[in-house]
Amino acid sequence: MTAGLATRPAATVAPGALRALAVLEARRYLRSPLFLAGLGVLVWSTVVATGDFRHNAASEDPGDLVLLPAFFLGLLGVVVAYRMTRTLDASGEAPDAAPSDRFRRTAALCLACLVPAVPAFAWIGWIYVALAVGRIPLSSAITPGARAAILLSGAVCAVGGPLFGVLVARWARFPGAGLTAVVVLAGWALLATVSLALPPSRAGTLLHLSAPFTGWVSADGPRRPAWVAGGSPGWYLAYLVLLCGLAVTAALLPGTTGPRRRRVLQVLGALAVVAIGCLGLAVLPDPARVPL
Amino acid sequence: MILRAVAWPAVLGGTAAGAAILALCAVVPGDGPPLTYVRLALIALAGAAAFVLDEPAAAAVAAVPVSRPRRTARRLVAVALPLGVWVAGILGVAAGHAGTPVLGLLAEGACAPAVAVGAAAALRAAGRDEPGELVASSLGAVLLAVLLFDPPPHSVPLFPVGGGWSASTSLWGVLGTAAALVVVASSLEPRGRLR
Repeated sequence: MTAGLATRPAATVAPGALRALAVLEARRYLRSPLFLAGLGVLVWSTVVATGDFRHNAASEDPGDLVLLPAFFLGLLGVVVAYRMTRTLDASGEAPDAAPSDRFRRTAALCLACLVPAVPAFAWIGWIYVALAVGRIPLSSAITPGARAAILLSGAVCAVGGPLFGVLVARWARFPGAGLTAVVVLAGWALLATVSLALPPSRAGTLLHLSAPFTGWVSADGPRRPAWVAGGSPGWYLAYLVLLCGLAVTAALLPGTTGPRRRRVLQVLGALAVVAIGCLGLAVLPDPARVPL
Repeated sequence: MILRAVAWPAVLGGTAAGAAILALCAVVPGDGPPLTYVRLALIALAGAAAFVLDEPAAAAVAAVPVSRPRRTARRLVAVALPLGVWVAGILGVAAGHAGTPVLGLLAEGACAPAVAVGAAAALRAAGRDEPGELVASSLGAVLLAVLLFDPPPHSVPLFPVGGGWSASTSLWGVLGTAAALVVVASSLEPRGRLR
């Protein structure tokens, strides 16, 4: 009897089930009060910050503003996605009775985490429009390509935070794991800023860029001239995208068995190797700091 | 007996995270106290305190012959754990870093968990048996936003760095007192219930 149950094939899943599930989860994400609150504060703070562009042009770069989508969509998104995943699990056996397995439900949750990408890309468009309309002079210390990579990293953080929330909810079973994940992410990003207070070196750049979020412009004191940290924003962006891939793959792992589990583990290993390679390439350039 | 019903994994998890951050703050050398990291520990400890009133078996507990105020009072004993870790941590940071504003930080550490417990008590009175997760994540997000973005008014900062400690302590005092009143008010036995 038990052996029969164990070897029973998985429930048949309709071809469009994943899409339908993803749409349902995306609607839940859109209705989350924390997402809506974060979006509201993001809009308000961006309006205020873009108004100060001309005033702060000598000491700041628009790339500094990536903290806004990274925090209000990404870090808050950790909590949103964590709670969505846990409430789905808390509904007991009902999801197990649905014609969809745990793998697909997790995949649908991960697809729903693309919701904050829409306001994040709109935010990047807003920044470029504000720069063009205000004819803001930009420092040549950051190339246009590097600035685009820095701004895009904010959008990747906006998606990466929720994906990390799904990952934590799938692996950590204790209450309060969501807040612990937020504290760990914030602590990691803050720890990386320690390297900016040290003399420039490749080890310092590695510490700086290993975090899932980082700022590029800093100064040696409140009234000292600003500079741009060493490293490649383009390869750092690739590293962040691969971290998102790692989060998705690791979140899918608990619901898999047999050959599928082996495939997921292979993808996880490959992504980890490529991510380490991208981080290495991001650290490779001259660690010297360039005045803004 | 009631203390056994506390969501200890959540309380211990948050407290352990706060203790680890405070221990790092105490041993890492620097010109002054690493206040940003110290406040990160405070967020973890306040989050831990938010779980103290969680009651997964609320229906069963409501039937026991112990009044609601007494049950709440007994559960509040668990807040001593994050509070104790905060006091020990701040004294450790002060020992390693001269000029640590001990009194101001102790006020923050006493009042932030009080706000968490107050919010949890209000939600519990509104019918939510396990408000910890919601309070911990919402309060954590708000405190983290204040810590990272330092919003105005700067005359009354929630997390001061240079000056403004007395104004900040007053603000925390008001918040802590309001939270304590909310805990008391929402823990009273409803009229007509067995005393």
